[in-house]
Amino acid sequence: MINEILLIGVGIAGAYMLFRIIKRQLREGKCAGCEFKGKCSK
Amino acid sequence: MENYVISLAGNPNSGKTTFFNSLTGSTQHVGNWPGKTVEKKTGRVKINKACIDVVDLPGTYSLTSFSPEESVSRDFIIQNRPDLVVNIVDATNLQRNLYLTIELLELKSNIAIALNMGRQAEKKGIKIDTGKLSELLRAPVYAVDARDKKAVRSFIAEMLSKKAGSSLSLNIDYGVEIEAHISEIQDAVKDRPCCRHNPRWSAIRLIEEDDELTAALGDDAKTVKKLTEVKQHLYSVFKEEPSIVLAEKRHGAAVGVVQKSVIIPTTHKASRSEQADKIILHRAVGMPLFFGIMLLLFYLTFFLAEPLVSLIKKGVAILSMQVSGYLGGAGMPLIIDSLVSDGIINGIGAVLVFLPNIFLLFFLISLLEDSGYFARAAYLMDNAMHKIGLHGKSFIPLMLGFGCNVPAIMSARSLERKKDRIITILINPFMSCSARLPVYVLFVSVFFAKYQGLIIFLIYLLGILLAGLSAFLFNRLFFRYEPADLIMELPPYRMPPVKGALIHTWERGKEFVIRAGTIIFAAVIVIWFLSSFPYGVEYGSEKSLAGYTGMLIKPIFQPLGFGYWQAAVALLFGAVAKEIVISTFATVYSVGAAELGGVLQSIFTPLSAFAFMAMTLIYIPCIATIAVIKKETNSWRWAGFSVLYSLALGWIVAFMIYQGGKLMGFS
Repeated sequence: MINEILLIGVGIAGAYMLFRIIKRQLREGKCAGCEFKGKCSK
Repeated sequence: MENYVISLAGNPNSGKTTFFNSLTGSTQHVGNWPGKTVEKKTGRVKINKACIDVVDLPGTYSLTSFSPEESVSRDFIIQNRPDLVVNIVDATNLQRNLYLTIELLELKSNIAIALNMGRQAEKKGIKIDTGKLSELLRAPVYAVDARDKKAVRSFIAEMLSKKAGSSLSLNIDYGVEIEAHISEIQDAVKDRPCCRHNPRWSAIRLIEEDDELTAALGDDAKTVKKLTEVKQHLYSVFKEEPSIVLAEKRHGAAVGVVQKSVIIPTTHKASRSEQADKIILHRAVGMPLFFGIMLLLFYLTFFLAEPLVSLIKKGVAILSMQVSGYLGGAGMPLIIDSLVSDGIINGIGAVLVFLPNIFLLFFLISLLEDSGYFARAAYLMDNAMHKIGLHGKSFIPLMLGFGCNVPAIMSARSLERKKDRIITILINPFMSCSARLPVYVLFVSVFFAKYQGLIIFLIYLLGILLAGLSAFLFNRLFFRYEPADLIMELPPYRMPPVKGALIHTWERGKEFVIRAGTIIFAAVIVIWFLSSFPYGVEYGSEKSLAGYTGMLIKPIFQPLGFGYWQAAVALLFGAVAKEIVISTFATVYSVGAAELGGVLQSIFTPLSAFAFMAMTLIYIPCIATIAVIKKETNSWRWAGFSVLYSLALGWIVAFMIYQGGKLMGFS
């Protein structure tokens, strides 16, 4: 039972993390650690 | 504490970024090719008791609004009114550099002139009388070596303490005929918000058909009519566009200034750069040499990194065993053990082992950039670019795509024509970025052990060819063909600074490590979950959610030679970031980097592996690239088109490789 709960919990956490990263990338048009971070004037 | 804002303006290759780095202690990459600074970059420095914000503007030859760099520079100077504009001038090319200086002075932009590359000028026998130059330009002129941090800082301190910048407007005499019209337009626009900061400059720009200022006139029908009459009159007098006539006058002024302040040796001895260019830019030698250099680059990327890759593979395997043993011994739930060893260590480790290849590729590209070869490569490619309907300058964003498509697409802003920008952006994802390199390295090491460098080179070449074909197609389908010549400065060759290349390699390579800890980490957890769920199924089996998803889409890949659910899931997650293709294989098979090659042999043949590599290259831009395409084209349509086009093209090319290869007897 504990394993099942852990599996689902980790799955949801991973999916949420991935969703947040993709959402940020789509919004900002940058990849993680991009050299243009914070320097885009447009 | 006093606060100042200063901006650095100058021609491409005048040493602006070096000056910026010396002043701010920054490590912005200095590229020895035009158009490196597309965006303005900012830094902060404290000198004496002053806090100075330094803005490095894009390198431009003039201040028209025809290209994005020029607009960025001009808008910043007009709108932000910096306390000082430092005009970095290349002493070896004074006449050409002075054109921008004259425009800056016309703008009353409070400028101080830093004469850079004085030593090189001296070597060429050029003697500049800085006092005379200062007198003629009515602005302070100092010889400053941009690499000399102390000299740069004391120059800025002196300029600021004396408030020495010239705010005098240098009024070029455009001749009686033109001056009368300038005054006429000046009077008409002097109270308008767009023009009152400098009515004379605005009048000149309006006569030169400046788009931004003309648009700002908007509903002022009377002025617009007067402007049209003036332009028509000037055309009838000079039989040339007024913009050309005015530009010639400014060039004339620059020539005059140089004649009075500079002694140039009459005998011209070909420099080493010029001698080298005779071979490197030779019609018959240039192109083969270019491809030879690229081939060498990929060979070196592969072979020099190999020992380190093997070492990291062993390290990851040991780590995996140790951690797994520790977790088992500590009585952790099985699922945590599986998450850490099957998922995180295998998935991320499979990508991280290729760090040496990535770092080496970036290092070699940095050396090429800094040596001055990039500009030559663009020049060499100009003819080929014209044939596919692109501008020669498009070649630079394409070359940058070998590193990462995101900044490469951003750098397409340096292209003046919208058509060139959009096509360059759309074909950029076919330039094989560093994220795809681990996939190639893994597959060639397993399936093409004897021809590793050559196969990687072929894949890169395939990307270049597809980019060319696509550009040709887009030109015919979406745009009208308009050839445009490449006017590009060829900077002198220089010994690439190893320290600079190392810093640049680290900055770019660091992004790869960050990606491993963010997006790849998250994706690996999701893939591990899909491979384990529902609880109780055999890990990574067809009955898991990953297996089920893969089984659903694998028929699409059947005709391409890799109709296996693992390959289907790998490609599905590879759309997030291409490195994840490898992480997926490692996670679903639950193997470390060292054993990954073995399991791939169970589902791929050399032919299907090559088709899979081609598919990975082409099939979809990663999420960050899709987002930047949308951002730079300002249209979801182009981003959507890029996704659909690359998906279709990827399938067709992989199909042709696999089926064509089979017909030719390959397996």
